[in-house]
Amino acid sequence: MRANVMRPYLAVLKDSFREALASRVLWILLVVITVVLVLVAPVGFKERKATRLQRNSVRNWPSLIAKIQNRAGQEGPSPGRQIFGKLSAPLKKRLAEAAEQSPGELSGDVIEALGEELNGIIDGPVLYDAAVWHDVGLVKEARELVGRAGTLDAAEAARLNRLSIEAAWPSEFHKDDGGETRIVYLGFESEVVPLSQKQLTQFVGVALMLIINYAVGVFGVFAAILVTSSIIPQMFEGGAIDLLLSKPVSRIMLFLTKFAGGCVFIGLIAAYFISGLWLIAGARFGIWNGALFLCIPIMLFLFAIYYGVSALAGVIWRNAIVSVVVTVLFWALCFGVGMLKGFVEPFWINFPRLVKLIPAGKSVLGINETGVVHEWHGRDATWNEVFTGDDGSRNMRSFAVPQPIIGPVYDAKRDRILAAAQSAPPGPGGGFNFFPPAPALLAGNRTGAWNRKKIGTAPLGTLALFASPAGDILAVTRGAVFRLTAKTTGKGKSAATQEEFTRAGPESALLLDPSATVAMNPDSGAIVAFNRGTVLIVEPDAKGKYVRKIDKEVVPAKDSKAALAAFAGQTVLIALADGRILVLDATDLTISQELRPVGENAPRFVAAGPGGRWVSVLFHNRKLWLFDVKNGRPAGNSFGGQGDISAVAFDGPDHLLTIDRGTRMTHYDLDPFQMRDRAAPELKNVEIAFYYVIMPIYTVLPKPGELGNAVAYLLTDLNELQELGRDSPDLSQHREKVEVAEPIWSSLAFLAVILSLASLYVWRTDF
Amino acid sequence: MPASSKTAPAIEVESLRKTYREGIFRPRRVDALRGVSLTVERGSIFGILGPNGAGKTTLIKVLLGIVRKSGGTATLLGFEAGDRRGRASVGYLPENHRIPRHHTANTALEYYGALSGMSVRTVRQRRPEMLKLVGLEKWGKTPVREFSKGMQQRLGLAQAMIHDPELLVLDEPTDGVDPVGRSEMRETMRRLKDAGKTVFINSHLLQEIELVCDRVAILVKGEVRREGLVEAITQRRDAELELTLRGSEQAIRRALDGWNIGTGLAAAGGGQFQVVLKIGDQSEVDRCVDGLRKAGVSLVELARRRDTLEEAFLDIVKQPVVDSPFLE
Repeated sequence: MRANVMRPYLAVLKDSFREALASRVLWILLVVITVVLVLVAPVGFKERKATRLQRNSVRNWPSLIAKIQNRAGQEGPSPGRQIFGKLSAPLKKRLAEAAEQSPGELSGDVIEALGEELNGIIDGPVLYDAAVWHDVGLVKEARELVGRAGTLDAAEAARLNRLSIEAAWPSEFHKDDGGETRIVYLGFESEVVPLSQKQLTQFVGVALMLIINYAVGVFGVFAAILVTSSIIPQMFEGGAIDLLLSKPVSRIMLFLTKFAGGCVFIGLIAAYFISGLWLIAGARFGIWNGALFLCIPIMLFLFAIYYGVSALAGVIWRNAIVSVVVTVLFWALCFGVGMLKGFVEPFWINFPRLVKLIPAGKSVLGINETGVVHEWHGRDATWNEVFTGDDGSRNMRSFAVPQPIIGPVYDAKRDRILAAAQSAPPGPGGGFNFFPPAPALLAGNRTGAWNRKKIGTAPLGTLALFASPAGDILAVTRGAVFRLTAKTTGKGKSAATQEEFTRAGPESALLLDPSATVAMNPDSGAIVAFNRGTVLIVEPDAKGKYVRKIDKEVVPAKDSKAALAAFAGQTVLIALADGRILVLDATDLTISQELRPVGENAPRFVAAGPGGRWVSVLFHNRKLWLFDVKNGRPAGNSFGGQGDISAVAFDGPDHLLTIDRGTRMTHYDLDPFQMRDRAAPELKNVEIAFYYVIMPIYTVLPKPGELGNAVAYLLTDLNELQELGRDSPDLSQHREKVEVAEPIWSSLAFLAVILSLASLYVWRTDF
Repeated sequence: MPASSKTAPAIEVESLRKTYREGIFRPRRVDALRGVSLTVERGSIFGILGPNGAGKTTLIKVLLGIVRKSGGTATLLGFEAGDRRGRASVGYLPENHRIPRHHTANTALEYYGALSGMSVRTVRQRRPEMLKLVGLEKWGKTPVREFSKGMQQRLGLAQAMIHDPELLVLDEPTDGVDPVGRSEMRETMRRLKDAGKTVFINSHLLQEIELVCDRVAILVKGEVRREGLVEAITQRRDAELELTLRGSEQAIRRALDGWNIGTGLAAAGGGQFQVVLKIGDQSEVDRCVDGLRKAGVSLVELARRRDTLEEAFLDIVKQPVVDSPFLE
């Protein structure tokens, strides 16, 4: 019985296939797909295991050499002593000088020289000697090579040396630094490409994502629209529809089945292409990624959105050409609105959004996403740009890559703000501008309208600037704490006061990673650092010299990623990138609480208020969370604009300032909790257009272009991340939220509406 | 099928109305059917006639549920017009039908058969017979796009019959079909009638209708102007009697004195005369014949004069219309 009921619709489905198979465009499409697959199939990679050290093979060069030197200084034979002994005297001298001048830092040329000499050692005789390396746990591959000692060729010996060094200081090497890779195509081999096995997998994933998003998602879908555009209009042409409607079938089911027929057909074509890619990725690269098959329904869904529009046009105008034209216009509309949003949103909405607030005496300063500093003028409710150059020029470009600045901090003693500015941002993982020069120290006085001036340089490797409770300006580098001090040079009339950073401890270098995070206790001036899972506290002694107090691994180093820290009273709060908040007792660094207030959202800014009562955590999803240190629990206050709060600062022991809606400032009293006042600048025309025109249209329209995010989610590391930039060690950097599910839901809603409209039209119309 | 539907007329229409609204900016009403009433009994061949725009195709579309009625009642095989159960037992050949060009005759029959709920196996069993019936037995594997208009029409008829329907609705079935094909189609229709099927046919070719239909309805501007047996429609209201007589001219004139002899007496040679009398009913005919015989006039031939269907149709269509169906 059921078969009889469904029989007519199965016949319609089958007929859609017949119709599409009769199309020439389809056969052209199939030939093109086959040719592409045949052309791509011979591409492959050849990999040889790595021996030589590259710059990015080592996580932290200063830390590695410090550890080698440390072992070398101890009694008895050790790998450190063996290797350090092989280094040349001039290099040893340069290393000693560097340790003296900028502890925990090495300049680029020193690292280059060190790398060269270490590579020379690796290429030399076998280092491994059971008596010396007895306490080093070798990996299986190395043990096998040791087992064949005496019969190793030069390459194998070099490989053993490399593995031995890695085994001696495993935490200093990147695990995925695999080997030397070459691209091969039909027997031809390329030069070595700087890709590890993991990077290679990622690269293939990205390549597949691009192929699927562009080759299938754009050209494929367009071709599919051409192939299928005539199916619905021809069905509704006079003479054809009469025949169909005279049969004992439901009109709506007839239409929907015809629509489904087109979709299933295109699904099979997509399956042919994507299965081919899967086979090539598996057979040629060893990447058998089953997630590729999930791209078939995504691409089918993408097609269905356009086909839905084509079908609606088809039932109304009953003309294939009109259907194609309407579909192309619809695509252009989606693309245009998406482009407009993509252009307006970063430049006029995101970049001007204030992300840092600095109470500066009587003023409040705000820093936006691009690093441009503004001062709040309460009288006319405006944010005016300050901290510009003497000539009024901005150092921080509004419409370019955000300029990384460290700080600014407010120097209450001299009523000025100070910031350290890098010339270019270090790339994630240190791949880009790996060895930046010492940053410039910029200062802007209130009396000078906050115009900035370069007054010197900040120490190499500065991680953060702080204004201590004593009124000092401190710079924390990867190796030490520095204090800004004034020095008078010359005598008499030529006497001049110069400010420079001088080392303020600790005795032994901190040896922090570039990804380490540091924070100051606003009351005690103690500094907490979170470095690769370990929390470290240094505090000033009676003379103001920083000394190590305690350090403890609180998160296993291998699991540790980026984090933020705050230090309030006797409590340390660590906000981990995975959304966990660890509350630690500063005296022994034991974890007293582990919280997850906003799911798996990463934190962006963490701050401790003066008085040690409050710690604020602002997450990347712009939600503010406040921890009451005194009571040892979340404050649970209800802040206005939750979900759109971009900046927070304490303006006193129990006062908090927040920024939401980009530039709206709200002042809260925290005990008892109440909103004190709120002020916002007027919306600009472009903002009005964005919020009231572009966004409503964008919301209503489907987001076929953003379905590519779902493909990226499936095929690349985004499946772990969901946010661009999540690999960056700097949590405070802006992260573009990649919406995976939202475009699917909104597109699904749009498709449902379009098909409902078309069905209603079919049902109501007299044909 | 409910019991009532088995005994119900094939088509029953009562005061059926259909009004279209045309235009977006200046919408206007078009009354395509203005209270149509007719009944088509099972096992008959019923013809629907009318000039262009009379509403014939609209009537068919309303019956099949392709177009919604605006008022009145219409049933098909005992079911409300448009009801899927009714449509399941109907075979329809639309005017200017269009079988998708990617089909062959074989796949087209499979497709339309399946749409009527038939299994592929059943279609394949019936298909050769159907194709043979419409003269396409050698063209089963030929793509429809290579078919002439007449061949497409034959295939259309085959698809309408493939599921052995109770009622066959044919809209201009002989359009583009050659005279031999027409004759074959007529023969097919007669055979269907003999098999107890009902055929509802709309055609401009009045000869076809006259040759094959039992009853006809003439639709003019959305109204049924005349409905009945073909003989009744072609019979002239002012009947004429054509007589061929033998006898002396004087005796004939005397016997016909007092009768309306129209154009008068005409000599036909061989002592015979012809005359056309305008006579009302049969009693007058008898009286006239008695008078002639009494006068010694011999009656060689006597015949009643009839219209062709075309003459009757034109006569009916020319009658003035009271209301215009096109209302602003």
